[in-house]
Amino acid sequence: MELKTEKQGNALIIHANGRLDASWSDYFADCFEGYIRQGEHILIIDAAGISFLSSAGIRSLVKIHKELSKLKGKFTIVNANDFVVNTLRMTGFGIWLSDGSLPSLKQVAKSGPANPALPENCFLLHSKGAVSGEYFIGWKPFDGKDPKQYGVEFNHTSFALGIGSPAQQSDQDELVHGDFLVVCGHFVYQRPEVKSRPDFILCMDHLKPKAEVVQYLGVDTELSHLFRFNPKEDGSGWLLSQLAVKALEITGSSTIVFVILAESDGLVGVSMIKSLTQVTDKNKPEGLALRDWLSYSTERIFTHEQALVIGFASRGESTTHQTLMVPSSSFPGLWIHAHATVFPYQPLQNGQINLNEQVEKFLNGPPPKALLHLIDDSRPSSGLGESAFIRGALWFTPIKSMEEKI
Amino acid sequence: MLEIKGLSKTFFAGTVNEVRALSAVDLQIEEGSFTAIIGTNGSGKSTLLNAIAGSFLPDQGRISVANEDITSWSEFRRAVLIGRVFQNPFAGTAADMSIAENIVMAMRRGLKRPLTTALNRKVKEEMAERVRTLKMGLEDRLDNPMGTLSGGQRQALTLLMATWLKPKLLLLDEHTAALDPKSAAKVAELTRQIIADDNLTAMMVTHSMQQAVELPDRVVMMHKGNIVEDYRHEQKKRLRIPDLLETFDRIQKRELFDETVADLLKKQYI
Ligand SMILES: Nc1ncnc2c1ncn2[C@@H]1O[C@H](COP(=O)(O)OP(=O)(O)OP(=O)(O)O)[C@@H](O)[C@H]1O
Ligand SMILES: [Mg+2]
Repeated sequence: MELKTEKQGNALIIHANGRLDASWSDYFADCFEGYIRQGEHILIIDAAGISFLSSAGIRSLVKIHKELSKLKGKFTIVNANDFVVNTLRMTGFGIWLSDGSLPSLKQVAKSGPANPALPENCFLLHSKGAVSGEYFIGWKPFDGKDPKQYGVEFNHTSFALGIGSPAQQSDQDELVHGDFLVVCGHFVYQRPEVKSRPDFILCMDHLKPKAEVVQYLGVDTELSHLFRFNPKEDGSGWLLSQLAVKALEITGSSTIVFVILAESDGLVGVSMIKSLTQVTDKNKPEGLALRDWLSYSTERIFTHEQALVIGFASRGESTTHQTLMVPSSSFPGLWIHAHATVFPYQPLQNGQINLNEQVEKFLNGPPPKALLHLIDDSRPSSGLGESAFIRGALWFTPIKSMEEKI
Repeated sequence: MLEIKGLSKTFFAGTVNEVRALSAVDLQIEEGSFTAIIGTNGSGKSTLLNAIAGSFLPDQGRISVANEDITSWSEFRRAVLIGRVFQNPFAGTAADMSIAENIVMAMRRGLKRPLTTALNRKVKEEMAERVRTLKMGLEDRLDNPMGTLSGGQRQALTLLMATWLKPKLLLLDEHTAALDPKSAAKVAELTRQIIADDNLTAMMVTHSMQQAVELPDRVVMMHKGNIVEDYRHEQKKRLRIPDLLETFDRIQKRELFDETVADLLKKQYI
């Protein structure tokens, strides 16, 4: 089986040559999974070179069909020989066949941008403008002071990150502060333990996640912009800071909140394995003792998995909320704080997609694999750099001010 | 059954080549339990088994078997209590002696003044009986020299010989590692069977994650002379290969966490 591809308009034509039978069907399906992953959701199979189609081959087509329907995509088979046409008709899959040879491909009008000022692949979701955010600093690691906490309840328009503990637990359980993130009110938290896995509380109409936070950056809003990105021309992915800068530029704001849902090109991050809020003057981690408290990825991890990131970014003069942000090594004057969680990869539908629907879909699927506080590892020579993303969606909203909760 | 307390062994102490092979290891093995010992190369697995078998005396710590302190016993004296199988199929048996003669040696193991066990018909029949349980057809070849057997056959026989006298403790050090995959699987299955049938207490060093997950009822992981994980009971039951790989990964990450990382995180983990 030989597959050659050719891009035509918004479709990908696949010229297939050979037998689509048991020995090639897995290979065939894998190649198609690759096209879908690359964002090709309208596929035309030029079957002129397919000499034989068996049940195993049909099964692989069914698999591709299912995958594409989830993404509102489709495939059509053209130029099939009589044998292939008959096989498909008799098995009830005649609908996949197109009568003509190659259908004429309309150049579909680009949906969006409603606002001509917006760049390509960017959608304005609402134009309510900038909102105010909040931050809370009840504790800083390594200063040895006792944490002060603050109770927060999240709803469908909550976006936040920080260090805290879920508040809904029985009285016997003491609060254990760990890194968390909140997207559309859904609360994802990792209890700081060596073998910990992230846990989450879905935000529902009758059950709003609550947390006791010691450190917090948050905003109550509906995200106003969506930017869909693909690898750059040279094939490289987007760095976290590049996406943040993109959002700052599009909004012209000096502070934003952003959410990334994308195929990871490697994440760089840290997770707590023992809660640093329990540090006292006596057990202060000096030097390598920090190993017992924090686990660092030491290599780029979760490449090609699906990352869900929430971040706050700011540029310009230093302001107080920036005490909860870290200066970027690639963009002078840019400050970021971002947390990420990771799911097994699943392709995203192209175009304008709804954040809450996507996040709920992922949270209702296989469990998240990790929760990381993302790091910009600019150590000379051994540094891992920043987290990067191959393809996906970036939502964001301008923030006009961040107010401190005391 | 086996109780190890504060066991330490340093090789080449005081030189540049100093290796802390065992670092105050504590371990208790229950009677009738089967424990796998896993860990990266040089983590001290073999050293632990060697210390138990008495190949050398530890720098510190105590070892007792069945409430008897054997720390100062010679290797020879311990052989009454302990059966061993090594990685090399050619170790532990004599190649130019027949299978039967090798088995006789095993039957006399640990005895100071060996009774001459005559290879009479009755003894040979009893031997054939037990060798038959290997299902390798070796019962018909008892007079053939050991050296004519394949690695897998030798290792199966060595295992049978090591357990002939039902030792208090069976020590296996990567005893399937030098075999081809099929023979390794066969010897692994045989190991499980013999240990179960004779209700032996066993410790098995292995690099096979699959064996570690499938065969024993406890898995101990070593790293740099320390026991870093101990999966038993329910924890062992739900243990899968990816869990072990993840644990190895975690240990490696910890190793790579150096001063530069500590500095970086102090600045960035805000
Ligand atoms: N007799 C010896 N003399 C000197 N050093 C030794 C001796 N035996 C072991 N060592 C050293 O002690 C450390 C632990 O070795 P050991 O053989 O116990 O490791 P292991 O866990 O069995 O590794 P492997 O999986 O490679 O068999 C190693 O650094 C090794 O080089
Ligand atoms: Mg060894």
